[in-house]
Amino acid sequence: MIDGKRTFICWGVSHHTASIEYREKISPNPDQLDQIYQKLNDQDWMNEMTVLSTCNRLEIYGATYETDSHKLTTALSKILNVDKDVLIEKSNLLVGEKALQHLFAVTAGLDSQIIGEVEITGQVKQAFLHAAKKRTVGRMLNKAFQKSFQTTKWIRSNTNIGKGQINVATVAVDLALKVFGNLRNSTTLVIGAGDIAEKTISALRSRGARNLIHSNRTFEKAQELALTTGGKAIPIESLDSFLNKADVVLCSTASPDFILTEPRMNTFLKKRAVRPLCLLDLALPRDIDPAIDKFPNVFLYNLDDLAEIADANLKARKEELGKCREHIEKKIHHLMHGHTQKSMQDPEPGGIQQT
Amino acid sequence: MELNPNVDVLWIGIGNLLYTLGFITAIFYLLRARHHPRWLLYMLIAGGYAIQTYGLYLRGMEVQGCPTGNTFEIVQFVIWSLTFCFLVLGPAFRLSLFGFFTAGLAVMLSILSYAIPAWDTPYPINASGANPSVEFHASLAVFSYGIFGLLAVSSILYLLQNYSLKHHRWKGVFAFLPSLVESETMTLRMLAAGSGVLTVSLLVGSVYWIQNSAEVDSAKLVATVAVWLAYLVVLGLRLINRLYAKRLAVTCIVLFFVAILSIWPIDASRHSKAPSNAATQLSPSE
Repeated sequence: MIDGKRTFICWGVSHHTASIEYREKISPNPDQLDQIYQKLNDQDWMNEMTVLSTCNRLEIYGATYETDSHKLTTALSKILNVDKDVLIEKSNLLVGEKALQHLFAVTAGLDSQIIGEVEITGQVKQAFLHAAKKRTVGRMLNKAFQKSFQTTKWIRSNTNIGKGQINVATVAVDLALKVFGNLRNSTTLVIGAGDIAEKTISALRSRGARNLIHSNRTFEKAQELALTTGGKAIPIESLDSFLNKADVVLCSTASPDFILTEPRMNTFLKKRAVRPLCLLDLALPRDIDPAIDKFPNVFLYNLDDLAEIADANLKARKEELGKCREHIEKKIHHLMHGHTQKSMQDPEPGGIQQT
Repeated sequence: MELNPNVDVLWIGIGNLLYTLGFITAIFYLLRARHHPRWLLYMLIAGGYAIQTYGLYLRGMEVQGCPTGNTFEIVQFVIWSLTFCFLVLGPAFRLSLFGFFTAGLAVMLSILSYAIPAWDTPYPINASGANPSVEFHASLAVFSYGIFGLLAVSSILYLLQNYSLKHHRWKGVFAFLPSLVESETMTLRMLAAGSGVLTVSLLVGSVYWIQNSAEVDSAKLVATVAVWLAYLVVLGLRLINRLYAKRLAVTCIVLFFVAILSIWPIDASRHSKAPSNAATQLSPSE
């Protein structure tokens, strides 16, 4: 995408090149972001630009007259108050076709820590819109970003890069959905608390779960959780009467013994009749007796089961990377050498066109 | 109307081939591309249905009545009802893999119907004696078998999902299965609908049976009533929560295949008792 005078570039620091501590250090606040736009746009070698800042990367896409990163890194180190040499060491510059390939891969979630994640596409769109508002986007960047969005759409629809959940909390929710179809009318009983349990509750709520009941050895803790989720808190002593009402039971206590034992479940399972029951044991040591899984219409999953599914899904996503990259290469080849190349050329290089 | 006696079988066969094509295409997509081609499959089944309808129409013209006079015709009519119900209900319920397994069942039944040439035996033209209520009764009864076929499909979906969830199988076809609750809801609806249609069919038929009790084939009557009672008992047990989940699904599948496989001996016994001075014999194979 070099039009004779200008070149498409991507300068960046990402999770591939820098630790989370360093990424935190260079993550620009809104004022610094404004300064980046203002200072870089004032440079005569920078013609168009978009800044992408996420927790995993700080990247600047631009149409420039120079492909030496020195000036860019120097300007950025001043704005971000970091050592120039370290920034040079942690950053890299991609030029032309390689920069385009990177943009397409980032937008499609292929370069993310969680391969195939969808959030990054929204973040790239936001960054592009922000740049457009600042009038730093012209014909070249517009074409490149629009094509990357189109390619991402194709990849999402035609490959399995985003299929299958790859974190334990969302895998647990997916399993509940495989049993119930939707969670709007199901009741979730949460026994205990904990980091994974909280993430799972959040994932359950985002997928429609509304009826949440919290139980904890410390009743106040259950009440606290119920307040944040809009659920109901019950004392641990009345657990049995609520077990009968639950469709999904999420256990995450620090108890060294099983909370749900086979005899205890046997009593109330007879009263449940036809309704299936999904048991999610997110505790270590386990809270639910594995023997309960033998009951018909009862589906029990522990942390190992969930991790195994997450790993298998991640493996499947990685297997799709080749297909996605192949499509990106095809699209970029078409963009660089196909009939659209002419339309991407700037009739008056140096002039930013309003998008 | 002059007809080539094999033309109807040809059209019915082409219809069946389209179901087969849909089934094979879906297998390919599911296993190779890991994608369920819902609409492509729907279009192939719809195409097969249209062609099969034409074939059955030609057969109906040939026998001057509803083509349910021998085992081949009954099984083909069941396939036709099955795909009709899928085409109408499939988009409404949007059960994943519903079309795939419907096509699979249609293929299995069509292979069965073609594999046994004796099933397409000649029988007297207008065997029902041009009695519209008998024709209506017969077509409704066979139509209910189509609904029971769809019930068997939703039961298969239920069992596969149950197996997947219990044994942690998530790859291939298992990845596309509908949820347990959705399959069971569909099962209950199909069970109620099939039992309802068969009940109406028997009510219509009973008017003729009461008036012409001497002409009624007792084996056929007993088998039909037995199938009807069996489905009613299953429905009743489900409604009072005594039969559900895996056992309900297995019962529905077994019952459907028993009902289908009982058609042949009953039909054979009916034809063996047919009057020797029957009207002109017609058969597509003649």
